[in-house]
Amino acid sequence: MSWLEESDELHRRVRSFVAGEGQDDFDGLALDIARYQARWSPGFGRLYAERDAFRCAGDVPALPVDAFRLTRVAVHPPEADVARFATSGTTGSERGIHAFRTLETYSAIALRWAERALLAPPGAPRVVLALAPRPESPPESSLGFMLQLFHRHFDGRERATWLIEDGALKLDALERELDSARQSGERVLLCATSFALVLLLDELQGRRLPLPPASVVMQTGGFKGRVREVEPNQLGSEVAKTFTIPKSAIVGEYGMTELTSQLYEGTLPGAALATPPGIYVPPPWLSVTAVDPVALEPLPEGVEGLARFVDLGNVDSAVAILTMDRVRATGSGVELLGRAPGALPRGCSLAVEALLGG
Amino acid sequence: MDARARISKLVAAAERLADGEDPLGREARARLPDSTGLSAENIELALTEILETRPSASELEELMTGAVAAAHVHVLLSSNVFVAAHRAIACALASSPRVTVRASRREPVFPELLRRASGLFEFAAELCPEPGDEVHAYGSDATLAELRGTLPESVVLRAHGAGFGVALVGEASRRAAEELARDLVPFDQRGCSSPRAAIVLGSVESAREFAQHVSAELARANRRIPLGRLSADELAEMARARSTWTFAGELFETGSSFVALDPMGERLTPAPVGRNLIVVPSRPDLDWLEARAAEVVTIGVAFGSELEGLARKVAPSARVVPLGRMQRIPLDGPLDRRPTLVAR
Repeated sequence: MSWLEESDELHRRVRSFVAGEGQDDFDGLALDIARYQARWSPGFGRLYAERDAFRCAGDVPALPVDAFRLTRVAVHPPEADVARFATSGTTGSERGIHAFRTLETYSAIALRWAERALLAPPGAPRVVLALAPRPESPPESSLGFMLQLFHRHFDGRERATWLIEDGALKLDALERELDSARQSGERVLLCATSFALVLLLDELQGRRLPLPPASVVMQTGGFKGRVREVEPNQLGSEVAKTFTIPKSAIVGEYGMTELTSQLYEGTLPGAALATPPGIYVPPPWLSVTAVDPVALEPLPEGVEGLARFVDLGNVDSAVAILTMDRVRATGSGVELLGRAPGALPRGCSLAVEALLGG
Repeated sequence: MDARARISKLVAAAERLADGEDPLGREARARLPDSTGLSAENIELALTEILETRPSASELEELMTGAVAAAHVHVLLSSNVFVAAHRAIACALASSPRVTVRASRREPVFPELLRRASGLFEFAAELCPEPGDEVHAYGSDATLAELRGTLPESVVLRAHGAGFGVALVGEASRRAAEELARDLVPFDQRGCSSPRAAIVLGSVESAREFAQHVSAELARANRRIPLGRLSADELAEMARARSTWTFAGELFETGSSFVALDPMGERLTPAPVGRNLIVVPSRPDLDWLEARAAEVVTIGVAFGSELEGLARKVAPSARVVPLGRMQRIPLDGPLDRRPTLVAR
């Protein structure tokens, strides 16, 4: 079998897994992906030198996210890329690139888990608004691509609404969209980075912008030490007050360029995911473990460590990823505790901040 | 006492600490492994071979000429390189008869012994400069930025921040590898002059050969002078770097540390602290290095070769020194010759 046939077959199996179909179990599929990566990529061949002894997904050595800045992390050749999502850059640092040879699996994954976290009741129509700039073509930001997907699948209007342009928030456009949604009685899904929300609050200076009933705010990204930081609880309270929605309708999303899958808070009443605020739920095709930063071994539940992900969506990149984010695993998900010392600032908020000249 | 006499007295104090027969020298050897985390062998190396106890007259002249007179100099020391307290205090004494030192909380032993041996300066738990005073600060960029925000107006701050050393070699010679290994060992590579990357002017194959030579030499050096205690953050960074370079390049283990080949070439990715090295191939012109030159404190080269001139051209503010002597810098002023942040 060629690498392409093998990749296609693995993507098909992952999409079946995501759809809840097929015969695969998580560990078996993760190991098959790891072996495919080792077979066709010399880097993974070296990193997974002990692959014959792997018995479960936890045995696969995780690739630190730094590698995405230093080299190409892809089994397939560059000419097969259909998208290259870039991490947000910081002064003096190179941007990491996550290359994809197909976005079909990414799309299936992003939509499937977002439906469960953000839509209540499932399938109900809504207006999707993005407090973000229009993505480039082809998109360079994984968040931008995901928001495009949300618009296409959850909204249905022809034209997407991007509320940041030329480095500025389009407050008038936001107000017009909300007026229109209130009049037509449509619920709104407003997607924003934490940074963009702070900017919006600053611009509104206490003025309210009520969202229609049953609307949701999806909040992603932190501040990463770069801008005026607002304590998360305070930001939640101010956003809820501004949009006149309950705090439970503000749903946190965690994603990173190096992953294909996302995690969500399960706070939205009536949605399929249900967790206390601050607990992010991984989908069944993503495992998150807190690992000891030195031994890189899994830590018991409740103990803080670095986040190690096994993401079945990363068929052609790295199935196991080690991040610099500190997490604590709980029974229902993970708590995000910020970045480890010495980590470079990163995140979607930084990309928006850069566009706004922050 | 004039500046020359003050510095001479300080150097004499340093000589006592270097002397294993002197009571203060014995005390230094007994206490420093704990406060620095370095192995006893590495402490001995630093005290006997790196601590500047034999400066020449011309070096001292240069040290004094470069100093700006001040009424009172306050010195904020960092803990990375314990003997650096000697140079920092010498520079302060060249500027002023009144010197107050705020030692690092992690490594207060060496400055204390130097004070007992010299009686030339005083300690303070916190820096409290008054208008017109100078502060000489050594530390991380974050520490220095924080300090800058707290100083009263009209206090002059001379800040020496983060940086690292680079080795530049023309070919994969065993001798260069041996000399470079000698530079990697002191202070377990925590110094701003410690080499964290080596540039080989040649092909990937040349760079690979050199990486293999350095790893062999470093393995020998690690057996002779064991690696000390690394912090949890340092160990974590090493663990991540091992996985990253196994994937992104080639990793050569040395027992307690590693040498990695970065086959992409022509970029500077400093290895984590702990006697590790990234070896990178480059075309001979080195133009790409100019963009990173501001971070480079020291470049080690084979002296007398054309590399010396090349290094001075691409990194004009770095010290260019012979390989094997990157940690043995003359006592002629601050080690870091990059433009100092002077704030008022």
